[in-house]
Amino acid sequence: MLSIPGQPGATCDGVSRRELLRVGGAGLLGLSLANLLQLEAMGAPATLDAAKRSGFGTAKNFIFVFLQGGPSHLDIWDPKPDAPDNIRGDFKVIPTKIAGVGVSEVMPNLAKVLDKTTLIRSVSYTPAGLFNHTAAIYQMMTGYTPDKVSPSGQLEPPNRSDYPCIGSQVARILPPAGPMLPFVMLPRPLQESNVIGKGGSAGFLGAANDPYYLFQDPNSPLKTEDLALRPEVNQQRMQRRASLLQKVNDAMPDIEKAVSEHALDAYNKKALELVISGRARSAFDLDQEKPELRDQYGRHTFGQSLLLARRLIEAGTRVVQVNWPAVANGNPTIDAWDTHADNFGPLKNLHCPKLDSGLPTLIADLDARGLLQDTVVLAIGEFGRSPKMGVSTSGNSNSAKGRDHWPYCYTALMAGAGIGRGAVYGKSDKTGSSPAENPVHPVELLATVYHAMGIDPHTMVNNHLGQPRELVQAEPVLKLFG
Amino acid sequence: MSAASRPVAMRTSSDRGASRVLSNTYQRSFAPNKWNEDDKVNFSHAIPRRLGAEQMMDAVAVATGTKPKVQGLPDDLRSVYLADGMIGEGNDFLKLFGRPKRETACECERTSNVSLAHALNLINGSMIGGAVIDSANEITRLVDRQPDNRKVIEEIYYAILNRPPTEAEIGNFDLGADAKQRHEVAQDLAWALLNSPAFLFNR
Repeated sequence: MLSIPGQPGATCDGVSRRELLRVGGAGLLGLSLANLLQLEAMGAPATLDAAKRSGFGTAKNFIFVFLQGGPSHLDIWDPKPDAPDNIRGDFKVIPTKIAGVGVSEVMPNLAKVLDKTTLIRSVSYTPAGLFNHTAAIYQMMTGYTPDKVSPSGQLEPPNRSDYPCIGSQVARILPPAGPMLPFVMLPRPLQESNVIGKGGSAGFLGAANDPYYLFQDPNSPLKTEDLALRPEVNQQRMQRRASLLQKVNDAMPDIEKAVSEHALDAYNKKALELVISGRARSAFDLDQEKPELRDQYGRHTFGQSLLLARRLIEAGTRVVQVNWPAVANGNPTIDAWDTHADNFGPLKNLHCPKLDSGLPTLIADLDARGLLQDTVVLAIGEFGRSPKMGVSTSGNSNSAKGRDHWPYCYTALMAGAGIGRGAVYGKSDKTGSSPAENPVHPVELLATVYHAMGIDPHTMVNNHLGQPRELVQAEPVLKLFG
Repeated sequence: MSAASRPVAMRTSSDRGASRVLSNTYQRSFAPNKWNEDDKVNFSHAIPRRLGAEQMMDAVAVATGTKPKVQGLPDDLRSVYLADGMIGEGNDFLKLFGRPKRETACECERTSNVSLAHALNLINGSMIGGAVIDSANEITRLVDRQPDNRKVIEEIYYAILNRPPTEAEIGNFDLGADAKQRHEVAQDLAWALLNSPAFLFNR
């Protein structure tokens, strides 16, 4: 909530720009005055009435843990021990920090941190037409369903008319205060089949708002030479180079103008600021962490990516998106969530040990450092998996121990920035097939994140054709704020 | 109205056939005029394109008189000669700038966008940074043999942008008299030109 020091109860609505200017308490929120004016220009805080203020502006940062592939909700965080054999699955249920709430036995660490999180067990949507990964991912990232799907179900490669992903929207509206990467996506860009980056770019916001894609495995030494000054170039020399570049370009205004849509100039300025300050490079240096903590996160790509996410947030990055590392489709020897061929062996031995070392450690670590207070975490896949094993819901073939795509009911985890601690929101039916209480559309979760960041989800942003488009067409789920 | 001055779309077969149309198309300037500045689909003016990964690497090598450094590539070959997606796969520059892995037949595998990661590599990475300070490069030889600073600036412009600098541009740069400083400023000028869109974009 936007609260102004010295004026208890005086909140975002009803405070005029003049008052904000006078009180100047905005710095506490990490918002620059320019950001506030920008928000105000979009009509965000002032239009919210009191009933809608719950949780508004509680978050400064956002960590999006995207479990691409569609993890099986029944076998992770919404077990159904009393369901029939062909639904229940192989795993037993263990108790958690929340009385009466159990999770799967393959998630022992998760059970210990549930008192800091909210599980949303009634995430549900009915896909428009095909429900393959690409369309579902696009919706989860942007809040909009894709309009161009080829007959094969694949989307076109990313282009500048796409809707922007939530990270780009947030980082554009609330750029970091210091010279830091605004939005980092790791350890790889989104990819489905051979289409790389669909739904995971700044789309119509333009190239300058694209995430910084790490595209490396944080579990191996990271190459960040592009973030540190080269040995022969000290700060002073880099500044001279910058001014030479400015002079060179100023002499050729026609060319600058012709390539303006690529925003090279804006990128160059950011890049120069970044390397001269040295802040980003140090954030990428995981060796600065205690080996024990690194072990706890897990010595694998996912675990170290989450640790890196925390370090980036600490260093001033606004949004970090960690994509589940593996994308291979249906291959039971690889830890991709798309478990058509075999659900249980891989989940127990490959996927869940990684998920269960990484995600709970992130939550506990953020909490221990006080970062959870103003960092909102959302962990979710593009859908869940079919309660009944061995049936085809998407047209893919499934083994007797495989589960197919299931968007009608699945689970998300949220934490931080005023999101309820130790809560379960919504409820699935006896078989985990559809919500029994409080259904939540995934796009409503995006709206909730915008809301937590202090951004009205209905804020209009112009697209590439100058047409106003809402960030998302959904309401935040205010009951998630504890 | 001469054939060449008519918009491409208005030309007919009487304009000596398609080859002439194509030839004219490719001769369009990238600078729009006030009637075609919002057009991007009718070939009324050229749309600058970022150099591809291998082109960029080779262009920097040619302009600075260095060799492209790709593992598995003989010294006398340019990176465009890399035989397939497997060779030079570990090259981070080529990967970042969108050299395709050739996993599909789709042209869309190759990317030509610009992002912060690209800018960071160009500004601060080893590809341009290493080429300009390479002691065996053309810039070093040029500064050593050419005492006239004005000529040094001209040569660097010729090598990188294929044109002489304007008087105003020459006036922007001062190489000084000190030998070490002359080398450094010449390197930095080359760095700036290599980082300008005039070099990085095909137009």
